[in-house]
Amino acid sequence: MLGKAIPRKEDQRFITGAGLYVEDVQLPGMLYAAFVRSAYAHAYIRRIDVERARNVPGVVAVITGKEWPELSATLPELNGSVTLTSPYIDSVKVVPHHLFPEKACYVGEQIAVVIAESAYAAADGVEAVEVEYEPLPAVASWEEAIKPEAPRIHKGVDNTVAHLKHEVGDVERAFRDAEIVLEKRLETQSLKSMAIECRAVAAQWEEATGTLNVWSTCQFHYMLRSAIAGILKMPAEAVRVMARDIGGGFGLKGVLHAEDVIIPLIAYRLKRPLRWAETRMEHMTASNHSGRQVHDVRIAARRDGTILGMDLKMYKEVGAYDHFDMMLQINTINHLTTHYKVPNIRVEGWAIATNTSPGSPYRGAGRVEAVFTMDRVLDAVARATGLDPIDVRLKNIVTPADMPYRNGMIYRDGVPVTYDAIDFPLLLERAKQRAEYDLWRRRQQEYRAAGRSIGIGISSYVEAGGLGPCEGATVSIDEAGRVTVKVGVNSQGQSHETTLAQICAHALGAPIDDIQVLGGDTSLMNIGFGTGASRVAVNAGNAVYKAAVAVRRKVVALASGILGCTEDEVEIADGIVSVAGARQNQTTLGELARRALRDRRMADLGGPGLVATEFFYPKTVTWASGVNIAVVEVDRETGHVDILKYVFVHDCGLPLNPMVVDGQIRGGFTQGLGIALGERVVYDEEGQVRSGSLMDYYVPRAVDVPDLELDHVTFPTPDNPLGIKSVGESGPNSPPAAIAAAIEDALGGAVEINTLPVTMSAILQALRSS
Amino acid sequence: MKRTISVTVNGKVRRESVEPRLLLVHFLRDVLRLTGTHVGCDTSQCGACTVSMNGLAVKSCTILAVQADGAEITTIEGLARDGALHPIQAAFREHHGLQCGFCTPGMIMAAKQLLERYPAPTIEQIRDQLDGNICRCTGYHGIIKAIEAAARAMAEKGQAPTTGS
Ligand code: FES
Ligand code: FES
Repeated sequence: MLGKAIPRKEDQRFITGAGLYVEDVQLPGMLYAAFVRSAYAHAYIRRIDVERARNVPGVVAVITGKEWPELSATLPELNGSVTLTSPYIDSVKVVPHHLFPEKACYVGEQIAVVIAESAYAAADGVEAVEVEYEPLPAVASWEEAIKPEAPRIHKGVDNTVAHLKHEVGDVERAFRDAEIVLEKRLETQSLKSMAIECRAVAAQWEEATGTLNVWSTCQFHYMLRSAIAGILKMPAEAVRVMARDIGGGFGLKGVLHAEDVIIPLIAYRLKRPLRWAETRMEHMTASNHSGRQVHDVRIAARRDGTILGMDLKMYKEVGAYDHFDMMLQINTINHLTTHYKVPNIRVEGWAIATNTSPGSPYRGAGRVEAVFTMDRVLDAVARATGLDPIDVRLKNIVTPADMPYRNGMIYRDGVPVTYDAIDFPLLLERAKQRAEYDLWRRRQQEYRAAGRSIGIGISSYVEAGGLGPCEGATVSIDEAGRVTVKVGVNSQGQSHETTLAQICAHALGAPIDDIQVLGGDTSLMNIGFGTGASRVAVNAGNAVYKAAVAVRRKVVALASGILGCTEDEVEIADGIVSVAGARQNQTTLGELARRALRDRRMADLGGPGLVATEFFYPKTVTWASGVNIAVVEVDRETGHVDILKYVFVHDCGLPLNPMVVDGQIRGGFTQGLGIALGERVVYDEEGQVRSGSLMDYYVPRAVDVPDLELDHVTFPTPDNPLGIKSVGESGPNSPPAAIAAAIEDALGGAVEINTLPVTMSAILQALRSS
Repeated sequence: MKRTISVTVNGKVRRESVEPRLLLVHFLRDVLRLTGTHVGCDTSQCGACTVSMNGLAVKSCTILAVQADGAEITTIEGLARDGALHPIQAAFREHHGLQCGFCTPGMIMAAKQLLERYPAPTIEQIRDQLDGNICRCTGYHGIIKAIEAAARAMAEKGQAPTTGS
């Protein structure tokens, strides 16, 4: 069952329209919320006139934050991130983020909420609220924000809200020894996760049980539970957060936004069910974005292509509230050297506040920026030395003989980054073969002679996944032999109901059709963390494995007593429990579950019933990796990029379900394609959003996506019982770098591509100015 | 202010009085409680709200409920017959045509129209015809495979696609 490409268990409800997303939650007496949002990127809210709005038909209340003391609360400072312990950071200033601010610090920031009998009436109410602003000068880019005369986003706080530095080896010496020194400025844009379902939250106070029920699109439902319970001073158990069917997350929903907390607080006070669903326009303005990142990089190399050192300065826009301190930049640093040896490295980074919505991770979370930098550096060295880009890579690659290999970085969990049991040269060679690299290099010359511009780009990534601290799972068998797996994580489409059932079926010997996986509900497991950082397969997967093994142990102990055999002789397959070699002497998992309720032997086996809860604590992260090669043709007249071939070779350890792994890679690849060719959150100097809808923000359509040649290579990890690594954030990392490199190569060295995305107009502009 | 409309949805006649400004998608979701049809945008880009109206795929966020007065509408909930999945639904499961499932109802309804227009579509035709539907999860690969497979399955079954709903 493990490793099989079986169709997904969760699909039935989605293909028939029976999924239950937050916006589908409808309760008797339900009210609907709509937010009044700041029209300015920076302004004092002087007066909110709600009188007219109160009289709008259907409007029940207008809340401005003064009504009840709990509305003056702030969001938890760090959204579940633990990076404050990072040894790289030497200063960080977290500014409290109020649910109802007195001063708006970005366009779209929530100012008031209208509660009404219908969503339409709530929207009417919002129209009728009059807000008097006192506009202040705004800064929308880090370049402006660091100027000494720049307006301060928060009174008395420098716009540079955090700083880090880290050095490995002796960078000064590397530059003294260098035969070649190169300098580049690289820029990557701010991005939106752009799940097709926007954010939503619904809440209901259940008087009979004293429970505040919350339905949320949040990826970290326990974090939301803590926040709500903390503000209302309720026991955590009195708040039940359900985050089950979620229409895509990709990081943006891994963050606590003010609405996630405000809606439950109001539902609790009004004692009426309340629902809010974000519009796409709100999503584009008020929801978080990933933040623009600029790298100034200097490289020291030898004429034979050996990289001696790298000196990197990183500038990151973190928006008005920095809930992740420097997590994204730390991710960039820890993934920076990918498959290569950079013996001497110095990094220094600044997190700079701007008058935009807060920054937060988007799938990849700093890895795209890392990979783009490393590959652009390797290609620059190739250009400077005249070597083939593959040869430069082979010159610097970490080989199996170097393993276990430490690059001098320290991961967010405090453990030194260590690669082991990975064959990077093999991945590169496989990609080279699959891409018919040498053939395309020859063709490139022939085509060039015919006036066609073909280019080849290579990129390598690593993906740390499976971040702790831990996850748990409870596996139980009922009297009919049905198995239930409960987990503390939730799904935004990752297929957990199938892959975790496969693990359980494998470990327990139960038929997969008899196994149901439940997650995304804080009432299932007392403690859980959630879904993000590519952590579910490793953490929850191994927890399910351990819990299923523990239940199996109970089954075997009980069955040996009942069947009159030794424990070694007990066999379990397809839900049938039998004695090896004696087929007639058998029972079923259901029958044993029934007996386990009253059988005294269970006293020594942990109590009644066939049930066990186990937690898995990873030692540190696992390292997945891959190599991408893109072959593109650029139309010099239009700037259009045609992807002729795209090879994606990767390792994610043992695949739980190859179909699901494929899906993760293809979906992630497509997001990377978007980053390469067009995705970009745009603010003007006033902090107004210029990418306010799906008409202004490029998202790849079916016509844009080339056929992907996928090649799975498996280097199992010894670090967890299942030998698995992460795959969720593998897809997007390399496509931007590979495609940018291929475009640069196609243009024959006429221009350097240092900025993402590489749009058609950017190509034309570059050609014109070259 | 309210107007009474009569719409046949998934074979059942529904008479309801609605505000003239109510969008068809909200009529389906909030009035009829058919929540399989989703909303993913406010500029008619994403296609999550696609339903079949008088045999044609439409974005139900761009139509007023009152404009659907007298119309026949099929939503994702009305696609399976007597508990048996429509071949397109079955193919989406078989070929991993969905992850989060949010775009899926709209994709399936768009695919139904596509296969009525092109019973044996080429990959290029499938890609082109899906231009009004965005999926952020799958990269479209499984969706395209599913539509190809559904075309084959429907041809084999002699299930000549009709333009009716
Ligand atoms: S909801 Fe996006 S097109 Fe209708
Ligand atoms: S499956 Fe998630 S948007 Fe398509």
